Amino acid sequence: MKNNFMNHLFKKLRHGTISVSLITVTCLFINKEAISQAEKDSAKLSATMTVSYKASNGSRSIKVNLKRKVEKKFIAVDNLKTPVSLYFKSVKEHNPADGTGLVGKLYLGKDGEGVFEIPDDINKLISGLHKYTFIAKFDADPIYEDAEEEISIADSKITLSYLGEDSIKTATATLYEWKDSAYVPVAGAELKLGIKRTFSIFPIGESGAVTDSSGKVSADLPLDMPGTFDRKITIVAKIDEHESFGNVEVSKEVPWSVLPEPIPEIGRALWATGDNAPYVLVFSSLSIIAVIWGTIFYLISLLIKIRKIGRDKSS
Amino acid sequence: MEEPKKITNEAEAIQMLRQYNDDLLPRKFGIVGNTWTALLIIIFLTGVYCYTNQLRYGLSITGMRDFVFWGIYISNFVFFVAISLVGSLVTAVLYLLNIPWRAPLSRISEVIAVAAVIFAGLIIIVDMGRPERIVNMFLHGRIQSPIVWDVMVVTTYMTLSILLLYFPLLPGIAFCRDNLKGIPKWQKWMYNILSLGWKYSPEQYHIVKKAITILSVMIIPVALCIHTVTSWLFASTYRPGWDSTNFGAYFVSGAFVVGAGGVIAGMAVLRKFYPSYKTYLTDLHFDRMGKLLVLLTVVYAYFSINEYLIPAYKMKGEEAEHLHELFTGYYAPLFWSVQFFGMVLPIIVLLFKKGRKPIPMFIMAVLVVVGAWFKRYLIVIPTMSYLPIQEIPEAWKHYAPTFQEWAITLGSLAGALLIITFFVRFFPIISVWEVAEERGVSHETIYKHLNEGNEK
Repeated sequence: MKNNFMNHLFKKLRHGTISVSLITVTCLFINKEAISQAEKDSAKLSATMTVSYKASNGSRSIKVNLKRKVEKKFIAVDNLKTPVSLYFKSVKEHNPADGTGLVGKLYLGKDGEGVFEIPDDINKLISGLHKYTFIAKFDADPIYEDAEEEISIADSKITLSYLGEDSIKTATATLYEWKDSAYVPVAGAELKLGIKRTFSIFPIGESGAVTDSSGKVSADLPLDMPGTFDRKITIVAKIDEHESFGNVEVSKEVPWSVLPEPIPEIGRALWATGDNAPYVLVFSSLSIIAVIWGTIFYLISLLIKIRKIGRDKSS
Repeated sequence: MEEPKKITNEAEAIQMLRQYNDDLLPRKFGIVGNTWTALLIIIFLTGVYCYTNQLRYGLSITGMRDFVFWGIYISNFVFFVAISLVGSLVTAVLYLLNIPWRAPLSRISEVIAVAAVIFAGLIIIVDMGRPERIVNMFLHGRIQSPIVWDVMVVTTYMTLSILLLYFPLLPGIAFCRDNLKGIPKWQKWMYNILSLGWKYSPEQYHIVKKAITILSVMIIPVALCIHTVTSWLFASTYRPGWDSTNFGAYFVSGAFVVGAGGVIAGMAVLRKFYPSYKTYLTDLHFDRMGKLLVLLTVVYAYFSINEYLIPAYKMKGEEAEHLHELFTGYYAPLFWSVQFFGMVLPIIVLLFKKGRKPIPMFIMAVLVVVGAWFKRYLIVIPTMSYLPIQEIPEAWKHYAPTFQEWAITLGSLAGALLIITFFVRFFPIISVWEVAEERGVSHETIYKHLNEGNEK
């Protein structure tokens, strides 16, 4: 009896031990999974995302830039594996789960940058809103921690006018913002004027000029500035990185009388393209090459002759 | 130090030729030779590994950037081009001048030339971020560009050097084919293929002699071209330090110096590890090469003085800044070390008869060769710091080669030495028949003797 009781007690204890052991192992396993996931997350690199807005002659874009800090220096993130998504928040609260408000997705380039061109249908919504917010984000990247950045833009516009007399040619730009129900001039904003050249914009007018009370900035165009061969010049007015309006740019092509210097005809010269090498150089170099390589082929033929003599002797 | 005695008696000639063959046939390396080869292979493979990294990650693994875009690859290229001139100096110039003591040196110099010019061609491809674009040089190259001329002339010089090595080697390869016993099958097969069925016949000798004469005449202008065109890669720009009309002559004279230094070093090493070669690479050869090296170094010193003195007299603009950097600035210790150890000291030592003995000659030759490498570094790198671009960060002006860049450069040097080492292991580095000719043995006797092996 006593033995039966003891056996029963041992059985209970054994079952209990097994159960406790199983639970402990399961807990440890789950915990380990959780720890390794946490370790994975904590091992990820953090990156800084910046978002900027640009409106140029009516077309709008959002530029996303991703950098990370290495030894006190910011370097471009060139290995983001997941795409960056851009959401338009102003219509309806965006929802990444069902894609509500999604404008587009793109992979950043090697320079850590990507540009979302805002499609026309969103443009129409923006035109009606006058104040809008975009969110750029990415998540679940194997290397980088999730990041999100928001940008809010107030509607603005620049108009550009040109007055061309014989002795004076003036460009005037006016900056407006949407207030209540209409565009009103903005005073005290830095508005730059320039002339579009091949690789950059040539600044005109006073450096650091701000708009007056009527939102205007004016500058005289240099009269000796060469235009295009079809007698045109392009004036540009822009605001850079404005805290409310972002980057806004507008350009206007105007008639111009000063022609560019004609490209001189250089003909056959040492500094011309390969097709226009001087005849003397072409003929002399080809002759030298022909003589030397002709002799080399003759010498190779001598090797063949040596081999032939060897074969004849053998036979 | 007497000139080798001329042989007139046929029996004596045959005995001498048999002795030559015993002494000069290639043989297996000992422990020193094997260790040397293994070391070179390790350095070479490390270079190859680093080059695969460069192919994968681009030139960003080097210290070169937008500003200093030519580094030690290009200075190494100029060094290889320079040392390759030795082939034309000893084989062609001394051959055409009928200098009697040149025969045992001609193959040493020619194999150095071939190894150097092969790696000159390779290192210029290594310097390209996108090596596959070398094809564009041939498809779309401008005939007006010195780079196109350089590619053409390097290819031509390499072909001529290989032919100049190969033609006189044919009897030697055939002799190895017929007389080396107990060699592996592949080695036998290699000799069979490379000997072109050589039968020691007078007709074949006649063709070889004719080819050597043609090549000796032709290789001299091409050798001068390769060095002049390489100098024009620099001199055709407006950069301080390169903007010089003296550059062609300066490069050619410097190349003769390093080439002669390379041959002397090679002679000394062969004499040390192959005691039987002492009969062929005698004190007389060292004495003559020592005198030749002094003459070449003095000529080089003359062009060097021209190269630095005249701009230093004028001291204009960036040229003055460049010269200050070399004479008293950042590069001064290297600059003066190169001038002293690579030029002044060898001239002084080799002017004395005791200085022209093998050991001091070897030390001077090594100083000349190492000094020449660093001289090319000083020609290429300091000038890169002067670009007509304003307000650039100071750090951009400085260049320091990375570990991988050094590994690739050292790998290329090891690769060139490997070619020479394998050549010494498998082919006669001293030409029996040319040495016999030098001693006055008639062609008929040589054919007869060499044919003995064929008839066995």
